[in-house]
Amino acid sequence: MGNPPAARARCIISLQVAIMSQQLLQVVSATVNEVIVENGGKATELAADTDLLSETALDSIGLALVVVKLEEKTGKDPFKDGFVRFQTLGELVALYADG
Amino acid sequence: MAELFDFNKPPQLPAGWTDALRGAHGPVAVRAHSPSLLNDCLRTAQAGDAQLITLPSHFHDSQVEALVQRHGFALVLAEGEAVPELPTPPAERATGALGLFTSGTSGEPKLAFHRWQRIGAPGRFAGERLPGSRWLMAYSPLSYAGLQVFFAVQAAKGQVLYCDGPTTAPQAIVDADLNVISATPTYWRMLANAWPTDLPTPQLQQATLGGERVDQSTLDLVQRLFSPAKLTHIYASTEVGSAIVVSDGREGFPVHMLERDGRVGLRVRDGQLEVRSPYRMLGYGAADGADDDGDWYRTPDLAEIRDGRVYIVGRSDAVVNVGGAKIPPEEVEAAVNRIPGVRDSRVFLKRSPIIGSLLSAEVALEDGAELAAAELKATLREHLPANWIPQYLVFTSDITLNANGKKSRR
Repeated sequence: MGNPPAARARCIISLQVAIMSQQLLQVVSATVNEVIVENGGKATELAADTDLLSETALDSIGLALVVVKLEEKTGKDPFKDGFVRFQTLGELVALYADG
Repeated sequence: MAELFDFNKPPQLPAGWTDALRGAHGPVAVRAHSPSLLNDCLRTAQAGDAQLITLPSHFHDSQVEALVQRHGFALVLAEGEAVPELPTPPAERATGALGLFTSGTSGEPKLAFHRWQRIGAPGRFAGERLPGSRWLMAYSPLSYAGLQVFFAVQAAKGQVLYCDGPTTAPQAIVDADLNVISATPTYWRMLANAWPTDLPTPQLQQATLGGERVDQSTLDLVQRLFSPAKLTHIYASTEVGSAIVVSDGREGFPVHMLERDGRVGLRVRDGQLEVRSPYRMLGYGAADGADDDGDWYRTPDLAEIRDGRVYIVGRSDAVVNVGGAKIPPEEVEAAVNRIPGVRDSRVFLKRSPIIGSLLSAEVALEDGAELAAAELKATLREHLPANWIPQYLVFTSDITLNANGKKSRR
């Protein structure tokens, strides 16, 4: 016996979310590296648990630019109602997945 | 569409406007779109020493309505509309003056009054030296600079050409055989860019830059492309009037102008330029509060003295604040514009949830030029402090200007 229909549907949805997050993760990492390179740094390997300010060459100004560029690329502004805390790449990705 | 206005023709006004414009019914506000009607209103009110308030045509209806309410204009003449019921003139004749609205780069436009004699004088001096000259109107016609062009052409008994913008201007300039152009540095750069290589440039008796901070690279560009008989740049503002005229082709003005005890006095106090001038406005309209600066008018312009020359390095109120650092956008633009391949730029602030405001720039490249954001920033890092480097870069074909042809900081 397989999963009951409702559980199967949930499974498919969470799989879709995972695929979307994977794409988003790529978009966000690419943007982070784009800004690092634009500001004279070297592109680095990034993972979901990379701390954006302490483990990359980004500073807060660079991070602000990442957010502007992400809004251009995704059309979403997760900060429109005020600042939301995030530290890692994965947390930033989640903000764009939810919005 | 280009339109040439000839000052040798007598004024032609709609029925019922002439008496009102001569001040027979008290202060009069005018809203006109066509340059010829506007010029004829100015000429008539000036001749009658009336109190005339000019409502810029780019103001929206609701904005005009609010201003009429705020300042209580009893009589408003509008182009294409019937003459309203004429009010009984006040017992005392209103002071003969021209009221114009400040550009209002920040905040609401203010109504500034000037005596006709005084506001007309600097332009008249310029025009009398160039009888019969033909000018381009490259400023907003109701700005202080635009009105100086009006008074100059009037004194020259010449002609003035109105055209749609710098992109279509070159052919119109050649067709009208213009010999004087006065414009903002931004306009000159756009005009230079739009000038077709196979179109000969006109023989200019005078080229003038004003209305914005004037930088050396734009002075050089105008000299190179037009080789005018005379190249001048002017420091003026709606409040203080025309204060500094420089004709040596160099940015800034010689420091001896600060010591000179002439008609206009200049000094630098705490890094800010102060001016004592007979061309200063009479005052703001009653609703806009007093101007109580004393003899010396403290301009919002930041001045710096280097090697015997005074340079305007930006405006105290245009200085942008990014994370507590005060940054003069004009200096950043000057650095961006010096990079080969860049035609013009505009520095502005973009709201940021992370740091409040992000220093940003629109960059227009020369035709065929290629410049990546990384390259541009790398060059800027060699010349500017790190926090002066615009982060968010928008490459565009044309720089965004506000209705007065100035660069907005928003």
